[in-house]
Amino acid sequence: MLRRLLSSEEQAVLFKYMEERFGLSRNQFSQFTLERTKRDIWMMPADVYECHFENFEIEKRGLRAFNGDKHPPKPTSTFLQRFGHLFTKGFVDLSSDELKKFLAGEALLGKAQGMTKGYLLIRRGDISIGCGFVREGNIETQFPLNIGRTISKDYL
Amino acid sequence: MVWAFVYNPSMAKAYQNPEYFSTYSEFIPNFDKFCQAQSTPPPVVIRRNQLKCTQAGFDSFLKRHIDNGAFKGFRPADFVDDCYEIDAAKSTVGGLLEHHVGFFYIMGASSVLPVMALDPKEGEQILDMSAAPGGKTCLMAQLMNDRGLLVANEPSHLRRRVLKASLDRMGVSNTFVTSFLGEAFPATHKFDRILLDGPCSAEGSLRGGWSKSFDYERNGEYRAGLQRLQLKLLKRASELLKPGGRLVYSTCTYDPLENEAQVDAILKHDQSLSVFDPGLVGPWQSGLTSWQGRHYNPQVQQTFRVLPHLYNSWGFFVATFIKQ
Ligand SMILES: C[S@@+](CC[C@H](N)C(=O)[O-])C[C@H]1O[C@@H](n2cnc3c(N)ncnc32)[C@H](O)[C@@H]1O
Repeated sequence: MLRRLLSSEEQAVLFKYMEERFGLSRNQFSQFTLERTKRDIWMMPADVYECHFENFEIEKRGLRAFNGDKHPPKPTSTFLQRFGHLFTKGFVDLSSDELKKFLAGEALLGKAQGMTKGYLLIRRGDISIGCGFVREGNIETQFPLNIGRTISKDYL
Repeated sequence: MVWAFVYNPSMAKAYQNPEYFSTYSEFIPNFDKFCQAQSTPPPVVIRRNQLKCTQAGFDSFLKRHIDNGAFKGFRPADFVDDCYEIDAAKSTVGGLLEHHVGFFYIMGASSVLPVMALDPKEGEQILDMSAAPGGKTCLMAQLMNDRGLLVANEPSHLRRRVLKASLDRMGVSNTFVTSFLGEAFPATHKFDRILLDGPCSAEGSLRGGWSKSFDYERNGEYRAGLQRLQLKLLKRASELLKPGGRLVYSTCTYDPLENEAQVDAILKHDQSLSVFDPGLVGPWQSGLTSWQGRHYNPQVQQTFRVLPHLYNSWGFFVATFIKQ
């Protein structure tokens, strides 16, 4: 798989976006190296990146943090679930009934009034769950439906 | 024989009876109690994911599910940190939102012990030679504070998918996933610590259940092949270890031929290795110094066995080596 380090310009754009949209300080990225493949942006500790392996096929390197195909890049569930508790904005807290709808792939009408178009983090209390998309005050789910289906709706 | 592997619930009871294990009655203390424990399922145990969930967050998660009736009760598991026995069906616990977002991992308490014996440290380079489904890999990543390098190797394509999903769910970033046969893992890179929790006959994890893949017939050819593979893996693990490095060999089986006999064989093969006692406190049994007329290197006394009637979990065997 072709991969390269994110250039400093690309990093600056990404960090600015994460700061402006989610209030995530760029310092949170300081221990990580960011790597770009054709479609995605991956995070790994800086010391991992420095390990060189000769003739070594590596199937997965680090944590898939963003889907880099999208502009701006879309944070993955893996990233949001790990770092979402550090966000100071750009998130919404759902009730149990709203969360059931979200996991079933239904849009939450009028739930994001006043929020600008773009990605947001879905939370339930202190649990960061995944990504939604705000469009005209509504939230569309970006969460994988196959995972949503396997979550029990009894104890949300 | 193929017919033995066709699922038939009426067989389950028969296979839980002491006959299969009777070969081990001479070294398992209170053998009747062992058979009783072996035929009942182990408790459902969950381990908090420190990368995602603080102790306070975990306490409120436990309380929430007591209040909403998902859990009838819970208690900390003995001798292992951050693990709780939960009074609820495994399917209930596995279906919780908190499970899907990686607040915790469902794993047997005894599965934590090989990782405690390995004692991974932040910033080190560590190899998990047989990593799927990944409970121990994720725990190692946490103990490394998600820094340094953890290579999680698993040759099975299907099981690697589960491993990758576990790493994602637990939010681990310091791991490279590779797909080598452990015995052919490239010797171009040396590691500070290696966990070899490799293929075994899995008698311990059979506790309370019936498995269509379990070798109830004690097929001689299969067992001999497995034991040869275990030694090959141990040899390669030793080659991959830095001087002063630590290797943990663990199995979830009782058979001394897969445990003490392997430790004895690798000590004979590789004089740079010695066994040491990682000092884990608990009701463990020391490794056996002889079995069926064969005597093993006395160092095996520093290995330990976990038995389900002495510690309410899966059976396990753990050997810890240091390389000179
Ligand atoms: C007991 S399981 C490992 C459990 C894992 N350490 C965990 O805690 O989740 C043994 C693993 O060894 C793998 N395995 C089988 N043959 C192997 C080989 N030749 N080299 C390395 N691993 C092998 C199996 O596919 C299986 O996933």
